[in-house]
Amino acid sequence: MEYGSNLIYGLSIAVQPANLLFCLLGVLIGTLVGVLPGLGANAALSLLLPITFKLPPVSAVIMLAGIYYGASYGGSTTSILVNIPGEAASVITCLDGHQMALKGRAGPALGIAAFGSFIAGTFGVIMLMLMAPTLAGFALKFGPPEYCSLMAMSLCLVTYLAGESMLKSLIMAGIGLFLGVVGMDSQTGKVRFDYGIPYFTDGIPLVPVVMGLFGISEVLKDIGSHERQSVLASRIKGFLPNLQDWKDSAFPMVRGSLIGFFMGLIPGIGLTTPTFIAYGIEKKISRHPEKFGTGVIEGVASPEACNNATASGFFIPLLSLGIPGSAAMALFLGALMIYGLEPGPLLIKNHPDVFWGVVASMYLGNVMLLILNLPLIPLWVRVLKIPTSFLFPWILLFCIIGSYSLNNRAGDVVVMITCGVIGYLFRKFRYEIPPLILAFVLGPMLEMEMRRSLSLSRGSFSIFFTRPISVLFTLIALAVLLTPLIRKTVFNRKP
Amino acid sequence: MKKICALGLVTVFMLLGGISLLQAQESDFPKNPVELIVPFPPGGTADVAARIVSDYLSKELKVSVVVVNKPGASGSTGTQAVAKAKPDGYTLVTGNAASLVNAYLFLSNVPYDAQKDFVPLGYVGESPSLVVVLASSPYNTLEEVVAYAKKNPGKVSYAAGGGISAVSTLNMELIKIKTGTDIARVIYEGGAPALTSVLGGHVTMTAAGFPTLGQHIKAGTLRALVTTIKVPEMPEVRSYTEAGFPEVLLNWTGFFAPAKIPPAVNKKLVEAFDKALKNPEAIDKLKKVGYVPEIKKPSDISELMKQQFQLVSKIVKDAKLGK
Amino acid sequence: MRSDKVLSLFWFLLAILLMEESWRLGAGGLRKPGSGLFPLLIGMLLLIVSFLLFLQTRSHATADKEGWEKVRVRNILLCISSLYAYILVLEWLGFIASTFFLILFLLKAIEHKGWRLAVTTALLTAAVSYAFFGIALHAALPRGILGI
Repeated sequence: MEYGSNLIYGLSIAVQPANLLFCLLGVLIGTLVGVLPGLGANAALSLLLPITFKLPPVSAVIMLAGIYYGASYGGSTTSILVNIPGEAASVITCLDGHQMALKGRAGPALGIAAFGSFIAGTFGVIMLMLMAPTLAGFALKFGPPEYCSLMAMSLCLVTYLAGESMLKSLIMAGIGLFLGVVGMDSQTGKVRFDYGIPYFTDGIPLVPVVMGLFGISEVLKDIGSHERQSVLASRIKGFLPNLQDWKDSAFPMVRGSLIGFFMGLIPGIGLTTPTFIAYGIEKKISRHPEKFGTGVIEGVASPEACNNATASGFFIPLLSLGIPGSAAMALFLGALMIYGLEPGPLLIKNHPDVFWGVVASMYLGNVMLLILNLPLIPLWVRVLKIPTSFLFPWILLFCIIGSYSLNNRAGDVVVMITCGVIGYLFRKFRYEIPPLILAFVLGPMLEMEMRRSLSLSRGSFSIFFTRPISVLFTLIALAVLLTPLIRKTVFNRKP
Repeated sequence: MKKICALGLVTVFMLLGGISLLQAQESDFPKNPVELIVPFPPGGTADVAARIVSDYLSKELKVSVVVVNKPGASGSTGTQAVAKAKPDGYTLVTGNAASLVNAYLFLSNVPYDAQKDFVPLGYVGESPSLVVVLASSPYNTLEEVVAYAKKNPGKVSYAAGGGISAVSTLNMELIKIKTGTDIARVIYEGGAPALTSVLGGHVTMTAAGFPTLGQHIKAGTLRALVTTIKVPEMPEVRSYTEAGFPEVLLNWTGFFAPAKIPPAVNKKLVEAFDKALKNPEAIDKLKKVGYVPEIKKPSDISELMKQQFQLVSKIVKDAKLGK
Repeated sequence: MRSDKVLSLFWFLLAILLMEESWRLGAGGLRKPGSGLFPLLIGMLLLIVSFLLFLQTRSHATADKEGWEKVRVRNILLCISSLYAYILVLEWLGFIASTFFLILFLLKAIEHKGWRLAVTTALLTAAVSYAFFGIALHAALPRGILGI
């Protein structure tokens, strides 16, 4: 298995002292930036990319990897500590992660997030090592109908995320889909639902919406209540996961890694969708689904592992097809192309050392992250001791800076604040927010693939049922959607 | 004690304010990295040119030039973003026929004026656009595909990379009209996603630029049927004209900045692009990916765009293609 | 819950508006999907679900109501207005000044801190965040008429 020797070669470059230093630096900076709400991996990378240009190519890629992982982990940190997702992919971590923090278990949550990411990363590298060429072929099999039915299935998993009311969650999904439609239609150039306001021509940006619905609304909820949520009231119980935590997290991490890796193979899937699915499945399989959302460690372990495994999976479409799975991967792609390396099926064949060098450096970033961040956990947890009365103005300020810095548009901040108000109202009226976000992310892709499928099939829906992969997803989607309904009517279980 | 602290802080403020005032000077452009927007996905014709040129451009400007992809609506999304961007010279865009000329004929709404909102900085040249099928498919010539499509309407499909106003898409649509065939059109944002669609066997063929398809044709995974401009390395691939379709449109790539940039910045950018595009290494790299490099002055570029618009308008009107 | 009932009707109306606008955009039909097709489908989904939701509110007993009595509406309104105000004046006053006033306002009006503490914290916050974001991270923070 010559892949092994290439990986070792890649690692040998990666562990040279200078490169180790760059990796460390990258992880450190990445974490700091990632911790700031809204400034996730993408922002960190774009801000710091110019610095990496001054470095020799290999070191630059290594530093980029460090920044990427650091920022992803930083995003999880804010999610857990203050319920503000550092980026869209961290939204799911907020659900149980923050609840754990409120119970004094921020330490274990952060710890499992770090370890889960590391384990998933290791899994990803091994999978890459064993199956890289085969997997590239798998990625190609996804055409418009497969994507469309996959997205539809993911959206149907919305019902698993449904808290109390499936109907309410469907409404939220509908709203999310609608928000995704606002803006210029990519195929015809028509601008939809802008009502004459120029801001909406580009569509509604994701990050301000997420930060508003989660972060700002959380702050509003806090200042609006009579009993101020003082996190410091609860004793901080330990800084690291205990044995029980490990036992509970083990299988979720495995499941999350599998789901994440294989979904990452699908070109263009993004980071958000797999984490939602991992959480949804975890909740469904669990023996105590009603506890999800109150602070169960499985709800942190699975998505965090999934996140990382997806990033590993991204390498296949990236390097074999040139399709980046996320904006961060696009930057990696750019870096590769600068060095004259065209992605394509030939890349793995002709330049295995490059492929493995990149993979090894990513893995190294992962390792660094663990080493660096574990000791920092107690520090992060202490942040919670800052009185809320000071904390909340700062949180608001950071959110504003985060959303403003995205595109230097005041409009983005207005969107965020408005979403904060709307999010607060949603919470008051007991509507769940995650389905909206998932629909918002998936909607545009779903529509694009649906239109392509219909163009291909000349208007016939049969295309979704005649192709094997597509049939699978469609059937699962229908099953997911209809089972609660059937249960109600036929078996009369849940009123 | 607290009063002293407060005073101290106010002093700090003044200082900060002063420093920031000093920083705002345009005569030493560029001092920050420059963003070169490519309004198409990575790996496409425009993208490849941008990446090659950005490397040499950054050497001329002595700052890094970062290529950022902003795909959507045949390039109009990214192009519009630059039209609205701060005209300080730090945000530039890669333009081509699809986003700056053809868009007006096909998209229902183009939120910028190619002549008024942009100033040309440099011109790369034309690049061949080829129609390809999977090597494993039964078609060897374009005529075979057309013949099959005629007998089986709706069964043949093509991936339209670059959206509905891309040159490759236009050429395919012209063929459809000329031969009266019903070939399904599946729209993709750029040549690279269209390529994967063909590789996966989801569409019968695609028309895309040589920079995108080149290495796959050479590797033997794809078979080229026709090309707009003859490719020196592959003389056996017939041109559209040779295959019986003389009316064909050519794809070109250039670089632009928002119109309102200060004249001094404009001058600097034009000079830098000129030097970068004349660099023999750059020319060599561009040729390798299939471009026919050509140097044009900014005024010539504007002239080209005007001429192209008239030409394409006529073709589209005659063929009754447009919106 | 009464609010549930009202809201379901609200969604219903929204769905109708949505479908109307989609029709105007042109649905295009299945063979040649147009801009309005997907929004139309979304509208249909919302229409059906909101109707079902409405039916559900009629047959269900009122769930425990978390009313508005326990909510400090004043705080929330103050906070929201200050945030909107901030973004309105940001590009006019510049980052440092706007931030100073925002933090000052939040600390005084909502948290009722003393003047000295509020002012100092506001100054510090503005200075440090400018130093960190504006200078260290090169984020483009606006400079207002005061030049800061």
